[in-house]
Amino acid sequence: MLENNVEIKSSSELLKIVQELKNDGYRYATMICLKANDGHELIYVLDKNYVLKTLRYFVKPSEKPKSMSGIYLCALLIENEYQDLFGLTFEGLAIDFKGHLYLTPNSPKTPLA
Amino acid sequence: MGMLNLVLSNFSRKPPTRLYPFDIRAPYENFRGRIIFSPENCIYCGICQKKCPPDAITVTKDEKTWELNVFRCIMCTECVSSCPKECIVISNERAKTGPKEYIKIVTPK
Amino acid sequence: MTTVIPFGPQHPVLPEPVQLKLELDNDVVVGALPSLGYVHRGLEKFIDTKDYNQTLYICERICGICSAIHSITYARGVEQLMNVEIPERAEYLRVIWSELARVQSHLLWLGLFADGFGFESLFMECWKYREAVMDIMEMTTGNRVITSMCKVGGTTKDLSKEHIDIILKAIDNLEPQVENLEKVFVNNYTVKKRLVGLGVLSKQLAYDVGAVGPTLRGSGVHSDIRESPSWSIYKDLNFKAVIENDGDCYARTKVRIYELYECFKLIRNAISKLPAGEISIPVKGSPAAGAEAISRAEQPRGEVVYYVKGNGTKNLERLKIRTPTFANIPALLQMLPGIKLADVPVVVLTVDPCISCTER
Repeated sequence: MLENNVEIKSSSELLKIVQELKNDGYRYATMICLKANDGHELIYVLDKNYVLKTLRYFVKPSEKPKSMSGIYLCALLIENEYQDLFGLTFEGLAIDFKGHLYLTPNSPKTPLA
Repeated sequence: MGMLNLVLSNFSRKPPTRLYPFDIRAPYENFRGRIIFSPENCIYCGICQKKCPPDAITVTKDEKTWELNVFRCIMCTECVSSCPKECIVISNERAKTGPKEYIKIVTPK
Repeated sequence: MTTVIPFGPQHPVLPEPVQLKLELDNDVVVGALPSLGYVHRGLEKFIDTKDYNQTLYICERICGICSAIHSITYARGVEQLMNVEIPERAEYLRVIWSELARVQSHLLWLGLFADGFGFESLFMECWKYREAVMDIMEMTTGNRVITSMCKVGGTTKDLSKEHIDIILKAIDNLEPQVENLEKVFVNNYTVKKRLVGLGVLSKQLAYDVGAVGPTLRGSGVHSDIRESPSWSIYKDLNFKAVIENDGDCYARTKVRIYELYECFKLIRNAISKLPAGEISIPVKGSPAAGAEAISRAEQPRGEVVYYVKGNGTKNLERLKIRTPTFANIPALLQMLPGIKLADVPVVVLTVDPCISCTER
């Protein structure tokens, strides 16, 4: 199991906690997307002084998760990657590649979903 | 100053490269050159086929054949370390390039 | 009025397949937009068909330069999943090979960088010194770059007494040569004129955009995963992170040059402390369903993050790799505005981009 794991229920709470962590001096490491019970599970990984903190958030099948790129700009690449690979749609992305960061119009659709 | 010395000394120095096809360095002892299969002790168990990461080895038990796709082989030596009868060894001799994609070894019945 | 100029994916001084759409006002960059996807191979999907031992060889082939550390990080992740303790000798061997890989990667980068600002002789010189390290790799592991020396549960190769003597001798030779290179990169008037004050990334901004590795340390942030508690071995080897405060191209170059000395020191210390014993232990079974682990390591280009999740079979449920260049691209976009078009290749090169890593 991952250490320092926090389960988060709602997306507004998630944004609030991430903003608090940023003010606290955490660095955005990455985000992990997993398939779980028809929906997706997002694990946000943040780092401070070599200690990781992970936030888990469950995305319901038709839900559009909120983008972190307003808080951490660097989140935009990984969120665009998951738009390509999992077919998620993030709301409020700073730069939206619309599912064509890696994939071209004639490549397989959402290969990891 | 470092750069000027270097350029000047390069005039008198021998080139650090070798004139390749005419001057070949002997391969190192550990160098992974090519896979050699000797069928004498082989029991056709297929462990090498199962372990091979790029699926380059095909073993058929009934016809007693062992086949290696040399274009796919990545020289990881998983087959060498997993073979229970030590039939597969790795040689430090560099494999020749060529158009032959498969090495097929059939044991006569 | 602004003009948009596509930079790459084919460019004389930038051999990486990335396109930057540069917005220019006369010849000053005002905005940049990356366009990726030229070498996306779908490796995270590909591992579905491979078991966890075979996946190591895929991870190793993500990148052609930092392959050794990719496989070590993956192996550490799976060892965490399965609660495997590897022998102490294997830990030290992994450090020796990963530091040798770092030396060759930094020398390769210094050469490419010299080529980027027009010093062709220096480029050849760096790559000539790098060959000594490549020869050590070939002699000890059997291959120059894709070494396949790591496996889940230890290492596959061992260092003999003769190998150790050759490595120590090669390092003793290499150190004065690197000092020579340092004179050119750090003191040369032309180089300084070109690099000082170019592509400045402030300390706060570097931290906020999630930069890693020499890009982050060049901006004065003290961050090197080798110092973290999860890598206790580096502490025993007396490791110290290299930090520069200016945040410009010159500082990032200095970080990489001084890191070379740090690598030599680590290799010497690791060899002097190398314990005798086994190099690997057999790993049986498969990762438990739902078990997950995050493992991190410091690559030549920065911090790499591996996430592995098991599902009770030999195959892994999910493998996620966050490579260093992926984290450095947003930092690069912050550096570009305000510099001239002619300086763009130099600034792009200072983050040491590896696009094959980024897209996996």
